[in-house]
Amino acid sequence: MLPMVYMALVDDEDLPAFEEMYERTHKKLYSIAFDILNDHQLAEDALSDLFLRLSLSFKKINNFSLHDLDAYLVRCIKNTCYNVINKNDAEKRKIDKLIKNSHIKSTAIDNSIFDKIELDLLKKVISSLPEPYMTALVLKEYYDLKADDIAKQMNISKRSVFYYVKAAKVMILQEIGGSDLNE
Amino acid sequence: MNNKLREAIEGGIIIPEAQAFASAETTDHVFSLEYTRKTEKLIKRQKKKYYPLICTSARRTACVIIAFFVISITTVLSVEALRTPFFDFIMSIFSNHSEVRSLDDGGNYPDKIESYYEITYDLSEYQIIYSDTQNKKTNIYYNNGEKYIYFTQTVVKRYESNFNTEGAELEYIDINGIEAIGYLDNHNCYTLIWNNGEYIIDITSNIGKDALIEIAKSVQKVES
Repeated sequence: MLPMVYMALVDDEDLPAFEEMYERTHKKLYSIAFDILNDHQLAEDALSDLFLRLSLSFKKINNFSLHDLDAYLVRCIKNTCYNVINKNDAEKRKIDKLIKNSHIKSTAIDNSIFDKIELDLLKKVISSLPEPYMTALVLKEYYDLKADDIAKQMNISKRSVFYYVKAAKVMILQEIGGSDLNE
Repeated sequence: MNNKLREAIEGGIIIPEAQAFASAETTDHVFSLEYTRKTEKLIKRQKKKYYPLICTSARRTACVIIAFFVISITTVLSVEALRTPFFDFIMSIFSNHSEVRSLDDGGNYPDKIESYYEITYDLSEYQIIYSDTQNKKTNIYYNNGEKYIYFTQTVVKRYESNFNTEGAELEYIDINGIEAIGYLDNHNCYTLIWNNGEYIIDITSNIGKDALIEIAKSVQKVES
């Protein structure tokens, strides 16, 4: 008998959902990660990190439709790859700091302003947002996740979640001429 | 939530990314042993009903505190054992097992295995039937018929294990001046775990406590 008896301590009776999701998706997600990172080790690290984070709020995401779940996983693996690439990127930190000190904090945004924007234009602008801003916006405004869950998934603080979501909206409005819309 | 914004996100991101997932190739990549182990462990953990209670460091710490108070009035385990700190570790005690993991802000330890430790006790009657050395952990499995010894050396900050402590009484054993945690599990296997100041050494065997302590005392640095 191997001394791996330690590991035979788990309940085997329930919750195969996480394992099912893993089995169904991990090879495709690996391919997506590898396409971005072009390195087997880094792609494995990203995948491993992704599933660890998914496990932290799995109960919530397990309620998504299959279509939404697949899109969620793609969004999250892209964000995880972004984090891997930018792990030690001083330039990114510099930009983040610059933006954090900008006027965004004090900008008030009424969501109804988006009703005035033409749908195709809004789609185009949203899909060109920089990575962390896009992910935070999608997780908040489409998946309706709480800041805690978004923070866990993106490996950022709760405060940063609020910041990224708000900054994403400011970027959208700036891109399509938000000042005109306010008038 | 704003419906227009949601609709735009759906059209601009959700639908294309769901399609990207559907059309992504299924890789034939052979995943590394380390990745496979890590993932298997995660899947097993996820199956635990109480996983949501212990899935973050803060929650695990809370579990330790709660366990301390519960156990201090139920005497399931030795109070002495619980009150003595396990150096740079959090120990979560459940009814049928315990989990030990390093503190995120633990001491200044090597990030990878730079020095190798081995059992120097004469084990010539044993065969090494499995040996695996990685950046963060080495495993050696010695076997002699029914008897076995399982030795691991792990980077302190990566140490995380489940132990079968159901019905077990934890005790502290002196290993060359270092305090090790020892216990006999319900499979009659004795385990010793200690932090030697550089790495976590963990030995499990069915040869008996006293014999295992002698072997544990022979663990030395053999290569740098």
